[in-house]
Amino acid sequence: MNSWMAAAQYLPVSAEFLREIAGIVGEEHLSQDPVQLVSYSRDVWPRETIEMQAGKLPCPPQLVVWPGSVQEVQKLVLLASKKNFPIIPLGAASGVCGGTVALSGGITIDLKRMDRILNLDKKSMLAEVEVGAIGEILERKLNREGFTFGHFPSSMYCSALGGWIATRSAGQLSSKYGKIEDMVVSLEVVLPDGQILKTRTVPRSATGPSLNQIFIGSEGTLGIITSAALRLWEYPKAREFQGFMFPDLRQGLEAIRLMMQAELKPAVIRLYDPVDTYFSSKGTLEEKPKPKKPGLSSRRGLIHFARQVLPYLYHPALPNRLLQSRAKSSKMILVFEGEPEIAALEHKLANAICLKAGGVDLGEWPARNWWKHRYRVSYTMSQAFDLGFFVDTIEVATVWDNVENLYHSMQAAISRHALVMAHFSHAYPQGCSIYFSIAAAAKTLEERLRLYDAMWKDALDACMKSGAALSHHHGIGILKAKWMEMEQGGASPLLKAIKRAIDPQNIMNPGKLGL
Amino acid sequence: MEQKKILEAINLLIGLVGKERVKFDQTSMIIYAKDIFIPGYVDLRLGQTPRTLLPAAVCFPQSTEEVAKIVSRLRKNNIPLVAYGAGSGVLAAAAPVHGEVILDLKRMNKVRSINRVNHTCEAEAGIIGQDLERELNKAGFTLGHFPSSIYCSTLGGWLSTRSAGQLSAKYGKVEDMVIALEGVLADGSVFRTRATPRAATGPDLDQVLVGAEGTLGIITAALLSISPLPAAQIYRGFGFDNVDGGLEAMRVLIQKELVPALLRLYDPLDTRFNAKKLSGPETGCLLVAGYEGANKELTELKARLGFKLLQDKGGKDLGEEPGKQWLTHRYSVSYNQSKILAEPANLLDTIEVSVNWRDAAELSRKVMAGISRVGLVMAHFSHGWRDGVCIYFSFLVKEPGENQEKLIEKHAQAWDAAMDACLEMGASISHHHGIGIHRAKWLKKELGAGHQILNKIKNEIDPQSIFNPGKLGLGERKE
Repeated sequence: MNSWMAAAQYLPVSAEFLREIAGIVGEEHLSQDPVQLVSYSRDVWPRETIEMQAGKLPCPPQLVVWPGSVQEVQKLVLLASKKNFPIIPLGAASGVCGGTVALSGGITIDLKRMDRILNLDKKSMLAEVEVGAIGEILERKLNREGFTFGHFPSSMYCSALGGWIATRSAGQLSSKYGKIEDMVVSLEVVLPDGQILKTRTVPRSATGPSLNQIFIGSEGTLGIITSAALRLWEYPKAREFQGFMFPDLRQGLEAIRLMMQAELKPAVIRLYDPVDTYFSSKGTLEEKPKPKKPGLSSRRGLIHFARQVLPYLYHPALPNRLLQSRAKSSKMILVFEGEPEIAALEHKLANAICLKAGGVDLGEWPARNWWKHRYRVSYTMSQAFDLGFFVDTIEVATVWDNVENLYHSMQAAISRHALVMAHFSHAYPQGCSIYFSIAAAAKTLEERLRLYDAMWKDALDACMKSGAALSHHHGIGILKAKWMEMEQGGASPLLKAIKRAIDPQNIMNPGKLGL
Repeated sequence: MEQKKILEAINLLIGLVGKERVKFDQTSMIIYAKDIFIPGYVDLRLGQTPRTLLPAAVCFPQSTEEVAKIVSRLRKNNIPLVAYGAGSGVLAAAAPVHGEVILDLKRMNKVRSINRVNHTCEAEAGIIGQDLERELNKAGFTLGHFPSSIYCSTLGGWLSTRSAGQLSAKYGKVEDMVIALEGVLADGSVFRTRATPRAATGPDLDQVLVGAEGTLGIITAALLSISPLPAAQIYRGFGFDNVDGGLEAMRVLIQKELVPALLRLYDPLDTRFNAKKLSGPETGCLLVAGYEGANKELTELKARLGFKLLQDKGGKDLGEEPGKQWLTHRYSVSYNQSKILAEPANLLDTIEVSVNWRDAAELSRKVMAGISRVGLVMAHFSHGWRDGVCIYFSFLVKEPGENQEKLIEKHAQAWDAAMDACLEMGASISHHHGIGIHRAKWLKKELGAGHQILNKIKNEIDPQSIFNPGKLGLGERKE
């Protein structure tokens, strides 16, 4: 990986080039200030945090620019493309795979100034929004109009619409509202050659390959998405909560599958594996009516625990074995929302399925409590690094008959390196995602990086071997690029052809997605 | 294609799959020279089959590996090919235009597996729709895909054109059912995309191949989502005074999460036309709504709330009969056209477009006005989505003197009026029939820079343009 010093090898930023950029965006909207460049040198990829702890800087861009309109973005792209300068589009940089890191230097284009709702078509329930809009702010604006967007990633306060689209983000309520790729109706994209692509704002069409689905998930490698038309929902009139405890994981998974295949649309379905359940409810079937101290959502619980057992993190196999053999029961939380009568009936039908599958009714409290703390998890990670260990998350997806196999093989692969727990969320009639949370420790920086890389390699090798998808909603970035060819099952020539066709100079976010 | 090259192609194919699976007799070539693209009927009426439109040969592969072998070999000799299903497309997407070899995939018609745990099925591209549905029904499932061509169209054709079935409001269009694809690229390599409900692993390559009409790859099999057979089917008819009232009711119904499986609004002419068949009203607009689902209680609740809403919005309850009749006659439309087309003074065609709710009524009026200048036109609104709807226009142009050139001219004027109105209003020129050759010129306008992107992708992935050249306006053949 490049370091701070390597910047010297990049294309030089001439005074004239700077003047031209200032002419496009204005003096005040570009910066070469080292403090800025350092802060733009990384996203929230934990590997970078480990490096930063040792004073090693990942890859700073040569220049940060804040354009205010699609025309400015277009001019910037034309200029950069003329000079062959790499461009890294950036939203809120809360990605966890190194997707916005300036691997080969270049210009980081921060889109956060472009955060307006351009048009609200209440009749078609569509909002056309600029990509720099921060999730929570956008949602609040839509709420005031009586709508919800339905997209609630835990990074809601620190992620932007453009980042969501570029990485195929999923929100916590995806079982009802879908992933971001299901919510986008059309896109405006500045292409590497400076042309502007605008897809049609229509519900569906039969006009060739889906251009939207080429740019959604492209992680900035094909162009800069500048705005999108989004499907909205009426703000829900009712919301119902429910918790269950299952004697074992398999029964809980079976209940999720049956609910999704019975055409129920719970907004939230989350099943915590026995280890996660153990941390969050101390392994008992009885939930107290009041929240216990920390440890009520996965990663908070993990950190709380890891702090106590830090010495064991150096030998994770032992505590993993202990926890995995002792902890048995799995907790599930459900939330239903929307039209009151439908939500109530779905709740009733879901309860019947869960009880039949062996679940014990925990009432509504566990789900209510989760709801209250649902965004907190994103802001607890840094504590772990201060304590001398590291945490990370690995999210994958597969079809139902492979879920248990995938869970066990990845759990085994990770257990050698790190303390591991998981939850199952983002369910579909055909399968679900598994979200592993890990904590690990090593004495020196080199050891920590080696451990980090070995853990990911073993985890993703196991994922690929089981036939599951490499990522459900965090994306690829640099972290998972190595596995992309295998992931695509022989279709990688098509992705490479797409890249060559659209960005022959390879100036758009080079090195990401393995491109 | 020159005679020498045709012979070369025939010999190559025979060498690869054997004599019994290669056809090159004149009758077969004429049969495979066209799909159901309407102006093609005029050629037949005139007794013409332009020589250039005949394929070089027709070949019937029976496995993905065989398709791969054929593609590699033909590519080496720079012989283009068209992947072909049942030939029921209406825009000449499967018609040979360079004397291509036709790869008829109907021998690849197996349901490879039905997975009860995953609610998926893997089927080969050449299977006929109704055969696939019947297999699934036997196992207690449905694909939920019911185009009116279900008896004469294949899975591969559906995927290649982004087909929609009559119950798309509930089950989605075919692109929503795809979990993974298997197929062959122009270099002869085989791909199998990952079987996962969702992923965040870059652009969605399935969605690049779906709708590509055979220009970027040949889809040979697909893993599809399936649904349990409905436990309840509740269909009902409603009468509305006019199109605007009916459209408004449709919109609110869908946006309130009371999404039915079937939702169709006929304009006054279409209502009158269908009055007898569907036991509907003679005047005003007929709306047919049908709820179905795996859970009886949930389906009944949605139907109760949905039907109440339709009444609140001004719909007159016409009882179950129109719904029942609609179910009975749901596929008959595809087979009634030929009677009208058999009359040489007539030309009949359909145009389906996609538009958001805000613009739906206005677009409909514009298109109707445009087509009315040259013929008789009616419309129905179906395939409702949260944000918009498909408008399906049927039109008839007549020339009492049976002048075929003039008929074709009127036909072209009707199409121009509809397509121009869509482009002008920001609607889409096709909701589910696709592009083929006929719509290519308007596609360029609809997609703008997007069409250039598709062309560049085509050139990168298939530089010789051996896959269905010219369709979607993509690929230039260098002989």
